[in-house]
Amino acid sequence: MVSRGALRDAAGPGERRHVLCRLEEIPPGTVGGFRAGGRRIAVARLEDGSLRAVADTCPHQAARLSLGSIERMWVSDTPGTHRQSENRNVLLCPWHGFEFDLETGGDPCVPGRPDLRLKTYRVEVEDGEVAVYH
Amino acid sequence: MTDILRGERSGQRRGGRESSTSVVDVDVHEMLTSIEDLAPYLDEPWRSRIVVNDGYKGPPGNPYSFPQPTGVAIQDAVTDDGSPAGSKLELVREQVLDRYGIGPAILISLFHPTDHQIQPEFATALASAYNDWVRENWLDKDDRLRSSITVAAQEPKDAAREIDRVGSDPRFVQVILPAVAHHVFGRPFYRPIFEAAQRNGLVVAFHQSGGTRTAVGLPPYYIEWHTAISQAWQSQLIGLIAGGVFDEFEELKVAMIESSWTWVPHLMWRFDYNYRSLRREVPWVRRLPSEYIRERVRFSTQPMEYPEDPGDLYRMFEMIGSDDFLMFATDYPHWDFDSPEQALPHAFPRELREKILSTNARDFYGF
Repeated sequence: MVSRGALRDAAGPGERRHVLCRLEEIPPGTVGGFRAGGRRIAVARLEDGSLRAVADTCPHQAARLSLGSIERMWVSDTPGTHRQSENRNVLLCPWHGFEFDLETGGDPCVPGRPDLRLKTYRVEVEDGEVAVYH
Repeated sequence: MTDILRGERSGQRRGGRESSTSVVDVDVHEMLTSIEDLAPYLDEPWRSRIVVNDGYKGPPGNPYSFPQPTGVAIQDAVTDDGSPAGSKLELVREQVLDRYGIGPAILISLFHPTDHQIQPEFATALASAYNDWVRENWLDKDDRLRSSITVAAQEPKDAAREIDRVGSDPRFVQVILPAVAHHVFGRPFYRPIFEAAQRNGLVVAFHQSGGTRTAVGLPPYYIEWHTAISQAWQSQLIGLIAGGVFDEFEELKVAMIESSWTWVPHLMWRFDYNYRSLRREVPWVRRLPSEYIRERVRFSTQPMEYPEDPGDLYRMFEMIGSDDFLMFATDYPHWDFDSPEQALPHAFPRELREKILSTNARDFYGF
């Protein structure tokens, strides 16, 4: 059992710990939306159970990304064929379907474009609670 | 450096041979006097099809009657013996190559067996005959000329064999395909053509043909068709990218000839935007569509738009985001011919004029 004080100490310089929910409130393959410390944050739980946290506002037209969906990114080796990536996961905006790489927050095909990048957050599961730090 | 590249006019005839600083023209049309010109280059049973009275007259041409005083040709290019404008090498020399000191100039065939959608073996034989005719009657007679390889694209494997047959001649610099509306060349069916082009280090170019249609097919008037036909190049370009042709053939380069070019910013924006939403449908397309266009596709200047403020044209150019994408073309001998002395407004900086009039095509085709 980790003490509350120890968890508060886990925050880095300039960071605060924000508890969002219990882990079971975000089933694998889903994404939840939260407010924490004045920010909207989307927390995605991948199929393997791990979590990713990004800004919950689409940089395109400000849709709530947590109302969208997550999936292993569709890729292809040959024109006309489709398969899902083993290790790349994307969040799809509920409005226009823009994809965001859940590792980097960037557009998976234009990783260098800053205006299409979501801020990413450190997210941890601590004592069964989902916590983000910022 | 020639005075044309500097944006100056000498008023003198230039003549002579090509040089590393002469203007390059990527769209000159060589014309058959009649299809019987191909007879010496055809074997039987195909030869008889064109030499008999009441025989085959050629693939379907432009279906419109031309409202201009001298038909599809500029008046200067009209011949005195009734043969088609563009069918006499001496006039091409006098009115294009010598007049503007042009060289190389790329011949763009308007003879498209692809538009002969029936009798596939005959169409393939016509393409081979045409390439041999061009080689003997044009390329061998003026070393400033380069040419496009004519194919019957409806038989892609045969087209690839033809590309391999003549592609080793360095004077053939590209494969020409008609910007048709009935099929998308980005479909897997046509892969052998692009594979052969890449194998031979050739560009694949698109130009309108008798099979070019607008989004509404053939509208009532020629002016409608001519204003709207860029839709055909747009659809083919979109098809090449969405079909994964650039991903599959990583060395392939494409030229859009006489498509006009001011629509390119719109298409790039629209396509990139849609790609962000719809990429999952075509995951084999690995980059933003605009990146393929900037890196792998070039456009001819002609037909240049003519806005009231020439600065608008330059601003459109800047929006595309590449100084390399545009190559000068006259479209001789047609009525919408552009002069290298006049086509580029002075809003285009001098160093850019040189690129558009000469360097961009040299770099693209490797002259």
